[in-house]
Amino acid sequence: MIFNADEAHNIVKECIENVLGKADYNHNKVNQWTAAIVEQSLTHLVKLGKTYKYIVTCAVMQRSGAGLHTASSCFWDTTTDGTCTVRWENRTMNCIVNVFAVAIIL
Amino acid sequence: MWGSQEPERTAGTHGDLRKPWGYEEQLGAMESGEIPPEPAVDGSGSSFQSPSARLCSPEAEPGLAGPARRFPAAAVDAILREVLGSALREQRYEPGPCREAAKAIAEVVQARVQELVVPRYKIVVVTHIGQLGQQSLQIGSRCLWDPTSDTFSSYVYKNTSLFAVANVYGVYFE
Repeated sequence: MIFNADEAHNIVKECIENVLGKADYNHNKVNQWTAAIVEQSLTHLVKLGKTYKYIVTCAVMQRSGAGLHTASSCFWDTTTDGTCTVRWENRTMNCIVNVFAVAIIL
Repeated sequence: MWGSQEPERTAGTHGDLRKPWGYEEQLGAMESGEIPPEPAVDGSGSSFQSPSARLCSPEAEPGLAGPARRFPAAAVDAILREVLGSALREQRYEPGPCREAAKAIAEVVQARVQELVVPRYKIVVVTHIGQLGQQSLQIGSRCLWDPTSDTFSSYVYKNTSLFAVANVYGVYFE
């Protein structure tokens, strides 16, 4: 069983568009937005019905010229486990979503 | 298209897996009036014990009994504090060096956590390093796992010109 990163990429991209689509950065709402993106992504990943545990991370940042670097390192089974990162931006904000899928054996 | 079904936050089906697979067959036999023989724990002799029942008992399949040793979140907290502190103390934010620092920190933290040698745990380390400007930023994460065996550890480091967030997730290999 191999993690299908393309499938996850499409799912997450759709979730981000759904939540952030036409919005401008709003400090009061960003909490709800990250929670909604992560929740929806997880729901749709689960519907794929694969035997994976998932970790979904979302970072939403206001576009003000400041820099942000994200890195990850994983100790797992490279044949079955995988990751997918989706970068999205609009006029006022940047969004980075990471999905880590860890296989389990039933 | 976007269903409103709540995802299962815990691996609820695990309760079923802990029953020996021969269980249903034994029940069926008793209802028909027969008295089934005692199922042998070592799997010998009994016609009601299917071969897979041996595989699913905690003695034969240690993974199903849960982790022998839990993920040491407190020790990992200490590792994160030490690694982030020593790597970024007195550092100014610069795009090139910070890009390398983010990767290096993730790798060092992973190596240190592996030294703790927690059997059957898979580790995911995520690091964010950003410039401290006038912007605001929100980082969130959610996980679908078994909360009795899996956990995470998080640490935020800040100095005058940059901030760093590191998360370590420990996932039990079932």
